[in-house]
Amino acid sequence: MAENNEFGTVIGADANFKGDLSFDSAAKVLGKFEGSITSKGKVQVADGADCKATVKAKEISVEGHIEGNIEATDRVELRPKGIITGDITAARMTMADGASIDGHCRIGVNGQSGSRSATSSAEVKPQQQQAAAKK
Amino acid sequence: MAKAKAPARRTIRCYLCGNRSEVSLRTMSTTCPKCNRAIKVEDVTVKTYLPVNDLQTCGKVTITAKGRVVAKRIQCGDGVVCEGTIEAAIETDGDVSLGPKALWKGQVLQSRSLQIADGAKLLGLVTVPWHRPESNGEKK
Repeated sequence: MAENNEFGTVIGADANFKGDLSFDSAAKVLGKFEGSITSKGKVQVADGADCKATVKAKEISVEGHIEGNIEATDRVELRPKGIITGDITAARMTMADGASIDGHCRIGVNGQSGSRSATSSAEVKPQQQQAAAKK
Repeated sequence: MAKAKAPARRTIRCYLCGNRSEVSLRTMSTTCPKCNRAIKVEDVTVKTYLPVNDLQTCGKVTITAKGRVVAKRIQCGDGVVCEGTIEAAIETDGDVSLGPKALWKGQVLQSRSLQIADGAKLLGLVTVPWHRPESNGEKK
C-alpha cells in the first residue's frame, strides 16, 4: 500500500469504471477501466488491470492489459506481464522480455523525411555553377 | 571424470517452408529436406552498411553499432540483436533485442519476444509474441 502513496488517484482492484478521466498528477489503475485517461503526470496500469481506453500521459507504465492507443510525451515502460493492443506513440520506450504488443509503434521518430532531398538539391548547385562558368 | 558431451546436433527450422530438421552444430548451410532449397544456417553479423533484398538465415542476426541493414525483410531462426540500424521487416522465431542506440524502421516486426532498451527508436507495426505457422505437410 505504501507504493500507492506516490499516486494521487488510485482506481481500486474491485472498481469497474466507464468514462473519461483526467489528472494533473499520477494515477494508478488496478481494476477495470473503459474510456479515456489523460494525465500530465504518470499513469500506471498495474498487474491484473484491464483498460479498454485511450491513454495520454507524460509517462505510462504498463503491467496489465491495455486495449487502445497510448500516447506518452515522455516514456512508456512495458513490464514483463504488460500487454498493449493498439498503437503506441512515445518519445522513449522500454520493453521487458515477456511483454506483448500488437500495434503500430512510433518511438522516438518524428517521421519527417525531407532533409535528404534538401541536401541533394544543395549538392546540385555547385555543379550547375561550374557548368555555367565553363560556358 | 568423463566430461559431459555437448549435443552434436541442433534443430533448425527452414525459413522458406517452416520444416524442422536436424543439422550438425558445424553446419553453415544445408538443403531443406522438404522444399529442397538451399538454406543458410550460420549466424550473420553486420558491421557495416548492407543493402540486400532478403537477409535470411536459420541462425542469429547481429547488427553492431556501426552496422546498417537495408532490406525488404530479415528472416531468421535464432533472433536479432541490434545495436545499429535496421530498415527492414523482421520475421524471427527467436527474440529481438534493440539496444539503446538502435533504430528499427520497417513494415512489420514479428518475433517471439522483444526487448527494447531506453533510447531505441522504432517505427512500424509490431506483433509480439508471434509464432510462425506450422507447415502443412511436415516431414516426420
